[in-house]
Amino acid sequence: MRKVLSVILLALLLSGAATAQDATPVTLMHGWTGADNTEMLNTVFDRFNMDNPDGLVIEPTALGWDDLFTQLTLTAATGNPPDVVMFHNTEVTEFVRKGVLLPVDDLMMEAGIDLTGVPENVIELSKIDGEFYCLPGDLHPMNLYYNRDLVEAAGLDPDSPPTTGEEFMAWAEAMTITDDDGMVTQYGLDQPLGGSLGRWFFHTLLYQFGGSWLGEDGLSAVDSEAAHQALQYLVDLQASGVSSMGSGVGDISAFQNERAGMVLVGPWMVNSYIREGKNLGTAVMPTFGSVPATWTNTHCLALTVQESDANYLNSMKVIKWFLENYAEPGIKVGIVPVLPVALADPYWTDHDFAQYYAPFVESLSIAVMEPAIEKYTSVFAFGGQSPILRNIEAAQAGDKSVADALADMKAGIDELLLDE
Amino acid sequence: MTSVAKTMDRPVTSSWASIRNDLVAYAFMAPYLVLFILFLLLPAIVGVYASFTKWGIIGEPQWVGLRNYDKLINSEIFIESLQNTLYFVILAAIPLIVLGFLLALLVHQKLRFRNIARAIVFLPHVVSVAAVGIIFQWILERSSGLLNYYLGVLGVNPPINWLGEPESAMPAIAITTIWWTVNGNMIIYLAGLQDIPEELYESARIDGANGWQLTRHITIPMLLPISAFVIPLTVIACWRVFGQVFVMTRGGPQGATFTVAQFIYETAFVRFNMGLASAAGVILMLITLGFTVVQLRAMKVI
Repeated sequence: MRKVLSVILLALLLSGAATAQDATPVTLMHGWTGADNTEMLNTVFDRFNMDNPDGLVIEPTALGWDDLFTQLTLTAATGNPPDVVMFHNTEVTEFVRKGVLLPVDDLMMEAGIDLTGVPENVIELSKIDGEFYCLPGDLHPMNLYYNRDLVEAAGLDPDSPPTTGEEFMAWAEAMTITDDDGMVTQYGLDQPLGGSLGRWFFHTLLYQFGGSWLGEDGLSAVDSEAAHQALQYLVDLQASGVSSMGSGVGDISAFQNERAGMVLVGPWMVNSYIREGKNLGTAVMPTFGSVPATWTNTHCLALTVQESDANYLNSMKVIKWFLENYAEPGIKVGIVPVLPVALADPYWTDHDFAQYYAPFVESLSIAVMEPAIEKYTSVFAFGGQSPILRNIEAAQAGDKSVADALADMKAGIDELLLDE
Repeated sequence: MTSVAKTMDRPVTSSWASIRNDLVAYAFMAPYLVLFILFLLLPAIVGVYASFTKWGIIGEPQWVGLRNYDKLINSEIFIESLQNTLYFVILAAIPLIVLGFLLALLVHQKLRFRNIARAIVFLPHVVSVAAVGIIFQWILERSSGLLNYYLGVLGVNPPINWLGEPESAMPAIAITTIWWTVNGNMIIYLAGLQDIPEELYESARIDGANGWQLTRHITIPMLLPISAFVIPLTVIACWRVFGQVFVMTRGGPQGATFTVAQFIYETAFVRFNMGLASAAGVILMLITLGFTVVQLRAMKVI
């Protein structure tokens, strides 16, 4: 009897191994490593792999964003890139010019991917020279988070969040508390000096005042009046004493520690804040300038150029499945799907978190991306060389005048753009 | 004939034994040599070659002669990164060496809980750079950090934005580095201290030497070979500072903590300008080499 059971067990194991061997792997590289995003995303991939549609399995690799750009370039250089890469629309042009990405118009049609209802500006950003190189999955615009308890304690109405610059400043001032020694014990706003959050807020203000990063000549346009107004607003905001100014790179721990009432950041923080038990409120980015606008970027999925085209259609099928099932990663990671089918998914509409994401969905119509230029990762880098970060920080710290900071920012960006 | 053959046999046997000994020695060294050649020597040679090319990883390198070096010499950001790194070397290397020596003296004493003290002092060394960076980000945080809390208790107000101000960011990173790595030097000095014969101290004590005289005339001179190892190693490590800066400030604020290693990293792996990054790497290598030679000469080791 024991022998029979052993034989059955062995047969089962072998049949399992055979199934695993028969499955065609589609390798996928992504940059969702913040918080516990990788784990969240893996549950979605696991569901695909359990279903095993068309005998396909996803083999994901998670890397930090900087590492992803490096690894994608290195693996492409050695002829072994992942089948699918999930990154931002803003990086697509750069990797198309490097010859890493594949045009996918025909494969999209063959796989039956329908982008009807996706915002036109997002569709346009997915094309280079009229051809699709990536499929957009979501937008993640920067908006306002506030701590309802601190808002109420300041005598404000948490159900009427600020919509203008004046209202925003009134909230920030009301929530800034100073002790008897003149020491600030609670800030109205948690806005770090510089870092990516500083850049995104500057971007938001730049477009709200009617400006843009680049001029018609393709060079930087940050010497404009709009840019001057945007940076001056940031400088004045810091000087007003209502902002924590953070500590180090992208530090927004004051809001996390309930020592600041508001913070401006993307939807990916919803999960963390709810998990921490915050009495959270979210709202559309207030309008500080003359035009409603807010920073955003998109995540998109692209195919890489391979030595063989054998796995291209399989990879596109994986992308199709992922886009149509984007509601779950949307909720779990904190991003807003762009495909109507995902936005209408009950997982998205009926979820407890939907109320927090609603302002992010509402802000899609005012969301503006940074220019998807060939040198995007150089110009808009997070690191120490960035002329944007250095000069925003210098102006906010009072080490440079707004005019000098913008002149130096323009010179630095132009040098990067013109560098061969 | 027999005796001649025997006479001739001897050197042959001796030479074969010598070759065999050499082969055995090379066999023992082979695992390291293979790795050294593959992962250090060859990349270094390729790096020197790449520094004379324009190369974006994808595609073939194009020879551009000295253009990358010319760019670096005229690059304000590169010069600034050199100055920042030199500042860090001054801030961190001297305390790392002096405190390493003093800590070694301390835990060398015949104290009651000596082994526990040694373990506690050495403990930070096993923590990864990412964890160290994040822990010190919390400690140094402006509004709710531990350091500002205690400074506030002592009456320091307003709180210092340690990592957010250009003046305080590099000292904050130096303090982090010292806490994290001083114990490495301590262990090396401790090993040196344990090798100093006790008789030297005993005879000096009989001659009436006090504690300072023992340290000045026996310990420090006897540790000179150890210092000849520790000092260059520490200075080279400081010139290569990267991890803690990358985690804690990313080179900010306003580029105040932007170091040469970060310049190399960003140039190579963010901007994919491998030629320029390689040229910066060669310059960093020459600087550390120059520092090492000068130090060793000053200590009359070479």
